[in-house]
Amino acid sequence: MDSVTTGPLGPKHKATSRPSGPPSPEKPLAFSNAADDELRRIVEKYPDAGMRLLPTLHVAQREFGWISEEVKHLVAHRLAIPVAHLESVVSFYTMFHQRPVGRLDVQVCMSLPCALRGSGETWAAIANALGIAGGEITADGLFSICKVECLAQCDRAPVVQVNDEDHLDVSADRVKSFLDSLRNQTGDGKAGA
Amino acid sequence: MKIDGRDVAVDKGMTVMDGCRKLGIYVPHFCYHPALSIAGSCRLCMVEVKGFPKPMISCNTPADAKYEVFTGSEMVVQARKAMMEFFLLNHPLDCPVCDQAGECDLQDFSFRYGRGFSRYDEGKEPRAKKDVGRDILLYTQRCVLCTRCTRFLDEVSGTNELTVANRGFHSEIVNAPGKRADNLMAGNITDICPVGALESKDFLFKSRVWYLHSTPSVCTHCPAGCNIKIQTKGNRILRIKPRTNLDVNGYFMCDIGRFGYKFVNDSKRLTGASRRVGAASANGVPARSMISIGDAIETVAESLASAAAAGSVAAIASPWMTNEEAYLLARIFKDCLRSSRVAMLEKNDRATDVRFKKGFTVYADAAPNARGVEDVLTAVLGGPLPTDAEVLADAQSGRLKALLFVNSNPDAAGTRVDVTALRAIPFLAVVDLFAGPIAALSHVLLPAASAAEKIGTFTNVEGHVQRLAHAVESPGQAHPEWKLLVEIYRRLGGNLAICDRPADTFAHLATQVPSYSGLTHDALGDGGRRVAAPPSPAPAGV
Repeated sequence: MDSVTTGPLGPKHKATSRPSGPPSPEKPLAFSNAADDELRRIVEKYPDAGMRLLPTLHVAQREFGWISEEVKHLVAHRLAIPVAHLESVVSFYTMFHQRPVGRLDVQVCMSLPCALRGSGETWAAIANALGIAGGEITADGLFSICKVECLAQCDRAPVVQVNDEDHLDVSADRVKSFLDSLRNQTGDGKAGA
Repeated sequence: MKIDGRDVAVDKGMTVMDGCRKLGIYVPHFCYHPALSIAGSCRLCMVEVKGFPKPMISCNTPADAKYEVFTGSEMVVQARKAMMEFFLLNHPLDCPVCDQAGECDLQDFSFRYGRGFSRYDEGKEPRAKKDVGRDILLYTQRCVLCTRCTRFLDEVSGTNELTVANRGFHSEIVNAPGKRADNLMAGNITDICPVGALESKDFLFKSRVWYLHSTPSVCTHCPAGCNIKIQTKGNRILRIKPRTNLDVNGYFMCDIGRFGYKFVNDSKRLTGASRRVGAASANGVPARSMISIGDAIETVAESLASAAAAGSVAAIASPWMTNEEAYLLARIFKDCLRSSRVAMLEKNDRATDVRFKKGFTVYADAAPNARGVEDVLTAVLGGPLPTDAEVLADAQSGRLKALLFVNSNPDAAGTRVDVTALRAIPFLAVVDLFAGPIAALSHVLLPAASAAEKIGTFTNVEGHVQRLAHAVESPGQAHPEWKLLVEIYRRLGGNLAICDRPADTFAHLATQVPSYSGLTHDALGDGGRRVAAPPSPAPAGV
């Protein structure tokens, strides 16, 4: 824990991707060939742009790390839909990041069942242990934290999702060991990227 | 279907809301708008349908002949009261400083269904005011998330500058990334916003709406002929709002028309007649002195008459003139001057027509009545009319002794003609709104009235004849062109029966212009009449 403790305000986010904005004419943002193949498969699978939107956004997030304004424009252009629709969808789902995240994105459920079982305390303990606020990244780039809505495991509340994996019964008193185990699993920082 | 005990015929595709509207029964609503798709999100238009356990939203309930609907039953009133409590949870109590107050649906519904005090003990979550477009502010906290604005920008203008972001209680209207609501129809979202969330910067804090006087009229900034309400306080226009006419503009208007009223209030408008003193130097502007309107009219009539005697008189007619004015001008030439040299001023085009997703079109032609003036001049004088270039060529070559040039262009420098030709004319009479380059060369200059200051008719690009209304007084000695032309006509010994009022002139016009046969100002009403089939596939209103 000592290794990631930072000041009370936490570090500013590290820019892990290009700056946001409409695509610049000189160096336009583009999907890699592998992502391109994946997008073609999505097109074959789903008949219209509305259906392709969520899978395409998942590919884009994997590709670029987070959904910047530039990525929104890229996806809107790719699917030939207004960028306004992208804005609505991306901001609706907490699974899409509108700012850079750490290698382990710790998402704490704040919906009612988790709240009744102490997710507020869990959140405070995690934020305190990592020394960052919601939306921020630790100085080593390992952790970022955010609040999310129901993760559908209410019987094992409070629920915390780290990247794509759910962790159950994460009460405030378990936070220290929970974070330590995450760090240990990551070890060399390969996991969860 | 039976609604509140009255029968209404059920058509295919009709909703319960449509049935209520057909019967003139008003059902409170925020998200429903007849020009937009159904959102069904505000839950305020609930009605009771006999046999159903819960109230139904009338906007999205298909009508059925078996239904018996109640729009004001105890169940309905209770449901509306409950919804109003939700709407007011986070709505600020800032009606005293909100421009929407007095024309606010939320305010009206609160008055009818609100509690007067809140049972909610928590604080309100503040939401920042946002600048979302050239003329548009979003007072986010006043928003009820009806999504009329985003549906308008998606479905009608097709420009998608605004959208709903975030989720649940945190939802709010935001700009799409990198976009501002600056399209030519954007102003309409301030009209369709049922609350004070979207406000026009132009009208911000100008007046409480109940002090405004509203005059139904027609827009004068392109030949679409959008129906408008000119809203005035004292003798000043404070804003223009679209007026619904499903045969012309639908529910909307463009921002060129919406903000185009400013020339009317402009302090640089001509307020008196003047004459030229001495000769003009090669490129200089001659000195002028003010004269009375009567003297100016006298001089114009005499000069036109003597030039006509020499067979060298002409006029250029403005597409900003009304049909009545064009008719008077044509009669002056036909009856008194025995000439048919009346040209139409060339079109003053903006770049191109702008056509929006749902068909609403802003035309390139900046003038409202080219079609009507041409109809009238051609019918009275016989076509084809000379072009303004031909008339100016006559002037350049010295064949023209006198020219009556009605310009009346609200854009002072907007008329594109060869002014060197105008310098060659021995007597140039100009009727204009501003002291532009044409007016500067006139021997006699007569101050005209704007379209907001006169009665008359315009014919839109599709042949829809519509009435203008007198909303404000002209500045100083400025007069409607029809009054000036009537005086000239009178002095030249014209037929006085057509002179008294524009309505009389129009009635006479209708006997002379075949396609206008039988029309009168009264018959036109506030909605106008179509005189002929559109010349090309009709760009439908929205």
